[in-house]
Amino acid sequence: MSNAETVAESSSRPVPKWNRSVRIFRAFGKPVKFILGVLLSLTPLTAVIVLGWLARFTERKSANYFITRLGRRLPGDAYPERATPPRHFGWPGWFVDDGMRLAVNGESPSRPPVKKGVAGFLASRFGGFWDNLKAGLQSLTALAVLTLPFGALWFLGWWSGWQNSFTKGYEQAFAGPAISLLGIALSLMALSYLPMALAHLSLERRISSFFHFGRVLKLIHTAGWRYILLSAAYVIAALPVFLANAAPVFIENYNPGISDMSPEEIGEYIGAHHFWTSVYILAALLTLRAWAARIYARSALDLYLRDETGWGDTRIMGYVLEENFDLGSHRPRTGPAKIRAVLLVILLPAIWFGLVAQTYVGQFMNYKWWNWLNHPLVQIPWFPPLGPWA
Amino acid sequence: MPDIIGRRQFNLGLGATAALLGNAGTLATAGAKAPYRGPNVIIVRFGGGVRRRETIDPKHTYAPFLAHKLVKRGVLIPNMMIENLEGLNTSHAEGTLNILTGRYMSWRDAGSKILEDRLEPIEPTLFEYFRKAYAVPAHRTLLINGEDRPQEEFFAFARHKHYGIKYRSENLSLYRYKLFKFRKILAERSADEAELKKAQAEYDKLKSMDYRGVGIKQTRELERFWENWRKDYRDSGLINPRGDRLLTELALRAMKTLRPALMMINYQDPDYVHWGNKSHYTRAISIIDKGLERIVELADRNPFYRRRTIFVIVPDCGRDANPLTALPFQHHFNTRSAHEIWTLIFGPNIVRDKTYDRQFDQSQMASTIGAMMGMRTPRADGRAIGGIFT
Repeated sequence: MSNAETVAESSSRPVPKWNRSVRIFRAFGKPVKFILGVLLSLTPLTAVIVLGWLARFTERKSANYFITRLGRRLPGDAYPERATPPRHFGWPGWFVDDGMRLAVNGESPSRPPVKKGVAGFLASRFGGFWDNLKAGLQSLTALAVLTLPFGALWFLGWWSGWQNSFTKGYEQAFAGPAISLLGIALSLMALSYLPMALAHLSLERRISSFFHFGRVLKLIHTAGWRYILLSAAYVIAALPVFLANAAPVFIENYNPGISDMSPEEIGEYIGAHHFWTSVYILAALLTLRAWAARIYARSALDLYLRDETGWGDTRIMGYVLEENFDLGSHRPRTGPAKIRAVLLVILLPAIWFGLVAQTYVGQFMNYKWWNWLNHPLVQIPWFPPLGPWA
Repeated sequence: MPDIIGRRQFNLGLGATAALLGNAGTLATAGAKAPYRGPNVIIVRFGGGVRRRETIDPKHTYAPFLAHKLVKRGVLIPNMMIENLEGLNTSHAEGTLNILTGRYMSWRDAGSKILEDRLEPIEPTLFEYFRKAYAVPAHRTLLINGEDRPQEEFFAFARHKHYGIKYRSENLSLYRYKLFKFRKILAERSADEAELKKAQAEYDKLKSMDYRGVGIKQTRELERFWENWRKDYRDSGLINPRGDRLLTELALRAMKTLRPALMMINYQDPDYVHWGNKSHYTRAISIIDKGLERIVELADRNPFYRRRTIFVIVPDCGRDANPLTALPFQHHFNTRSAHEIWTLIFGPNIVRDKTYDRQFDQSQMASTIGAMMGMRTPRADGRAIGGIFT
């Protein structure tokens, strides 16, 4: 069934009147959703839900890019309800299914099928939670495959290198540094690839799409300097996270009384630090993911308009075509492709090395083994709390 | 008994020491340089950086010989502090010089780099006081140093117009052995050309590390020492004991062959905890404890040392007890715990099985050792600790 022939309902349909819960939550809007997100990111398990929510957020931001840039539709549309401009997608819900969907190829109509009985009740009240969890597990799986190998090499290189140094194993002194260097090399490639791959996964909703190397690399290449800026923004945004982890080693310099505090007082201090750091992380992720979504959408459109094979099959373009946006005013980017490729290959790893350096220096300042395997801005959005830990 | 001793107590202490050893004419007087017949002193730098909890706290110690057996033989001062001065770093080089000179900030920077301090003492060390007061050859004053901090090789003398290189101690370390070894290899020319070229390069590199112009030649006695060492352990560097066990081995051999009257052993391996592995800290403390046991056992047996040797065991610095970090064992961040150390002194004429629970200062060590050995330490700030002599 082609896009034009689908009978999917578009995003311009109003929220179903029956969904009172959605209306109530919408009234409180973004601040409540933000606070809920921060609370969910306080533990590693619930942070997976936040990861999924961010994927759905990215999906909606991509769609909103087109609504903003290409909101005008072609005349003579077969669907009269599209005479009004499409409504922007709001932030996804944490628990409730708000009924908003990207209309693509007839899948996922904006109004979920009404189920009866317990199933219906659960679907309406917790369908959003289920969507977040599904998307979170997809993202987690994809990220684990891409990042755990180099994270494990970082950890093993550091541990084995210092273990060998302590025992003065001169004979295998090369082992730890060699493992670390291999891990760093892999990480630079993976991190350069990751933001765009994550955006592509968020739209495609299939784990395999994360590993469509050809497509994702084409998107990166098309995005050009915008993607370089996005990568730099990731590394700069990671600095406060580095400071949140490293600065507490200086605590007695600006709070000498801390060594006399009771365990309860220290617990409160740690809790506050954890909460506010998580606030920053979520805010940074919303900014970075929204930016990535716009870059993704623009690059996908450029590739489609340049008549590159296969881009019409992507979900984002399926949505654009389904909504019948007027693409005539958009001019796809062109430019010196080879120079752009060379710059990306040199600049992206150089920029991401900043994150690698932050990780290593941070481990010297305040060592936590988990920090080899996870960075809250790149993987699970969870910051390990201060204090004695695993 | 007062906490610090004045001139009268000092002279009484000297007289008591002399009387104990049956040598009435051994007081060091201005202008005379008598042979030394006082007690041998072995200073054990229980470093690099240890907390009270893991050393002298009997419930949590990783040094059972120290905490359960040695404390009964002498005076334990559990509350010794490094003063909190502007610009004073609680670290190994600084702590060692605090002990050796009896003054804080008794050094100048001689070209430090990142992770490699290069300090030059500007106030006389205990070695210089000793060799200026008594007719003691250099090989009977020894500084035994580890391989990880070669810069502390060069604390054998100060840049001071009345003391200096003329009164320096000798050094035992892998650095010194390698200088000896490569000089011999190049002189013997028994290896092939490639090996000789490598040896020359290593030799030149080692010579370039001498930032104080100490010179590479050691005394005849040390040359003989290294000849015997080479016979046993040869040239590969893979056979001799490693890490802090190496220092124990060097100390034991020195006691048997060189018979130092004043010897300092710079244990260091607890500092490996900087790199994130707590077991390196606790394991290293146990290794030092075992080394102590062997050295004390030899001193108890050897006729030159039996009943004529005072042990002074003192850390160079403490370590943090930061409740906000997962691994709270750093020491560069000016925490209270990093300033908290202790000392254990035992031997002839020292009170036995006593805990002297008042606060003393690390800068008092030099004057206290001076009192033990019957020598004045005019440039030391801290006054000798009273109440420890019988």
